Amino acid sequence: MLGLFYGVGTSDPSGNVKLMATSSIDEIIAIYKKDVDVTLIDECLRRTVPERMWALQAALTAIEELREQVAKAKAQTI
Amino acid sequence: MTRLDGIVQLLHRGGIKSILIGGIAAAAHGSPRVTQDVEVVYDRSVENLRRIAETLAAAHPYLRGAPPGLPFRLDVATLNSGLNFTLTTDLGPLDLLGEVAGGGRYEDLSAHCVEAEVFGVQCKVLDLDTLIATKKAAGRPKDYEAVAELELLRDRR
Repeated sequence: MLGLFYGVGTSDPSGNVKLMATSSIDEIIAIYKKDVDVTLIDECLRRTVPERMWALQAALTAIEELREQVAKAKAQTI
Repeated sequence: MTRLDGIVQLLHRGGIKSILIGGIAAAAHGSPRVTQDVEVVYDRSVENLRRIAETLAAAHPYLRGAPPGLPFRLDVATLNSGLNFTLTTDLGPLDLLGEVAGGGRYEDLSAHCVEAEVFGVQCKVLDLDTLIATKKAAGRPKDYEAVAELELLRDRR
């Protein structure tokens, strides 16, 4: 049986990408874990579930309002 | 404006049997990722399909990404003839999934839920282990990123 291969790259500080062949989903996930900001996770875990959900809605609203403002600003500069 | 709270509250008011999954479930468990839609697995009983059709009618559901003006109606017949619906509504995007890869249908997932207060109402939320399994099964690169975060979150709870 053929294994599944996924190409995943990592970059050095100069931006050079090195491709790595991985043979399992868990290996890919392990690579992604290196870039996760766990301080954000810890911040969320300090909140209750209701607090997390209201924070999510607030963040989404803020993002959408910002997008609207950017769109308006772009329209005015044209 | 997307109102995730409005969508969840609407589903609750309508007595719709469903389980929160995806990004909104991840947020309930502690993920800091911002999700822009509500994803649920819904019970496909006749009664629940009726409730979905009646409740969501007020929010004008439409197929997300479809050209405007199509004769789409989210009624019981439509729900019966399909399984997974990615919708836009007056309150924002809503994914109604009859089945998810790696998890199955509502009756399969019911035993793998936790109850949580979400936007002021009690909801069934897919548990973290099963959420991770469904995201792994989905197999998209963005899901692998999410799984990485969820597995770290699970370790840190």
